[in-house]
Amino acid sequence: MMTGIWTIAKMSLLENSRKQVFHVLCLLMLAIIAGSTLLSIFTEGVQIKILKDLCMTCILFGGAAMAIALGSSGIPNDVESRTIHPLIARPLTRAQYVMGKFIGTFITVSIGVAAMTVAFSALIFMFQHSFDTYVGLAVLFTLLEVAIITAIATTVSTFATPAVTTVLTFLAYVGGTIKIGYVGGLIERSSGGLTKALYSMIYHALPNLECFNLKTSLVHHDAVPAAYLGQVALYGVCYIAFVLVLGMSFFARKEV
Amino acid sequence: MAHPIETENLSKVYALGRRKGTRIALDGLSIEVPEGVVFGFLGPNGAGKTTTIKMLLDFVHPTSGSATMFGKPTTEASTRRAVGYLPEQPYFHKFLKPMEVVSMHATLAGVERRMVREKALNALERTGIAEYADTPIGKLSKGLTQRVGIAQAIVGDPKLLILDEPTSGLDPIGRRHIRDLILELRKEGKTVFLSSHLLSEVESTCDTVAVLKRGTLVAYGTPDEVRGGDQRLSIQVQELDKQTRDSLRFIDVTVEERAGGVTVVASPDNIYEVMRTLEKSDARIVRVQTERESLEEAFLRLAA
Amino acid sequence: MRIVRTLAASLALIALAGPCHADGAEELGHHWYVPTYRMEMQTQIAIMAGFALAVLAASWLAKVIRTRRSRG
Repeated sequence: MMTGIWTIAKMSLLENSRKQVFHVLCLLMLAIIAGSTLLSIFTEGVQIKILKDLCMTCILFGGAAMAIALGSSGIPNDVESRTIHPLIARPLTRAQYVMGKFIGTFITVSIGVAAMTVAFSALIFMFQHSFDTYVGLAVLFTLLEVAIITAIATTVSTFATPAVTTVLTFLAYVGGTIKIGYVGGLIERSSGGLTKALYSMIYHALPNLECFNLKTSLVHHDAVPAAYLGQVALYGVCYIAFVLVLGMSFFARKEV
Repeated sequence: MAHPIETENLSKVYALGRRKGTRIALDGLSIEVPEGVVFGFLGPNGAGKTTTIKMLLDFVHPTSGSATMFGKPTTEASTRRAVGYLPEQPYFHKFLKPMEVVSMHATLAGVERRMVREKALNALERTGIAEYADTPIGKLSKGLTQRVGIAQAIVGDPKLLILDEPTSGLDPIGRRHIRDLILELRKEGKTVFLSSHLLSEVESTCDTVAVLKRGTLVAYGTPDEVRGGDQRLSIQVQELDKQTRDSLRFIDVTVEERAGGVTVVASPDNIYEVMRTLEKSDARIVRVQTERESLEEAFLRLAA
Repeated sequence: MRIVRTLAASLALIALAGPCHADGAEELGHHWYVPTYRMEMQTQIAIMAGFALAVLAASWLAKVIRTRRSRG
């Protein structure tokens, strides 16, 4: 079973790493990270905090953008170009195919995130003359957040066009980021039973992405309780698994 | 023993929308493909050949009926372990090389890791493209890409090969090469399910043929059985005057203008009457030979 | 050119999300001290687990019905 998944993942990785959008996003984010060294108008203490904040934001936005761009086109392109036919004519289930595409896309995005993290760490070393251990944890949970976005993009792409997938995944990303503050507030302010029920449904369906944001921990060097980190990691894995299972069941019935 | 392919009342109806109604792509197809034969699957465009293949490989789901391969339902992925498939127009990622494509398919087909490279190279050699093993597919011609498709289909040593237009895009030498390969695969005991428009090739390779027309099976059997019709005799004469042509109208014959003169085609029952008429007109007989309906003529008769 | 346009539009849209989440972070402070975040994670895990159990139960029931029908 793993052989089939890994073969599809490798092919997806080879395909995604050649896409122009991946190279452009990587270079753009690296350029912004490198450009953050021009914040010399601030005092050193403030400068390092702004640098960490800006670079972590770049890593998250860059990772999310790559996940959306690559995840939304993988499966629909294979179906449209019919490159999928020789693959699923093999003893490969639709579920293995979807899983392989997700893993391949996530690995590609991880490579981009790793490149940005290396640049970020080099900058911190340049300023602080030491590596910051909080970076590892912050980037790890950012990667988990990006994995959720990749899973959503992969799942939606099993039944929607690349354009619709891009929009829906982007809305899920934004919604998941602001849900506790904004959508939660909408539920409290709404009066009608049906409207409240609808907002509640949306609220509980959207991923809780803000939990994965450890930027303030990195910037202010505030430790995060281990129990909380464990719960967030478990939540992330469960959400990814749930979304992918939905995608696999959608794709199992799709005619190609 | 379970047949390599067995369908029972296999049907596919596509819904075209509320106003347009439905389209019957396949209507109650029931066939059994014996093991170790080359089975020709024929039909005009839109007859349902590709739809049948898609249902066998679980690309689309039947509206009703069932299909099995080696006794197992086609809906199970494990059923396809013994199957190699060549699509009508194989598409592969342009940046991949033939060696990479065929190796990947060898892995997916369950070939042991240490044997993958050897099997892939062997498949490329059998299809005559070993020298292009490391050339990106985007740089290969249509014919060479077709051969890559055949190589990935045979690499896992499958018991059943489903080939959709295997000689499409190939030059005459390439077509001959693939025809010889198909006959070789049959000698190895494999079953080849062949969908093709090149009836001359089907005639020379297939043991059994099935002809589809508008989703319905209209003929099934050996090429001889499908051709049907009795043996005919053709008499080629240099020329035929109007009076003789008029006389021949009263006999059940066909008069055709062919290269080299006029040919009178008659059944053995009325050959003597035809010969007496021709003798009276002093027509110069060039050649007399027996003829049978070709598969192409049978195809046109059944499916046009 | 199309890729550059798509990219620019995507980045503009993503950047719009910045102020939204920045506002939330300022108001709420560290989210790991805010009970709402933990409670919502637990609720969602419970919903997903419940959904999975319901699907498993439905499949098991369908299998039992099918087996009984084929025997009877």
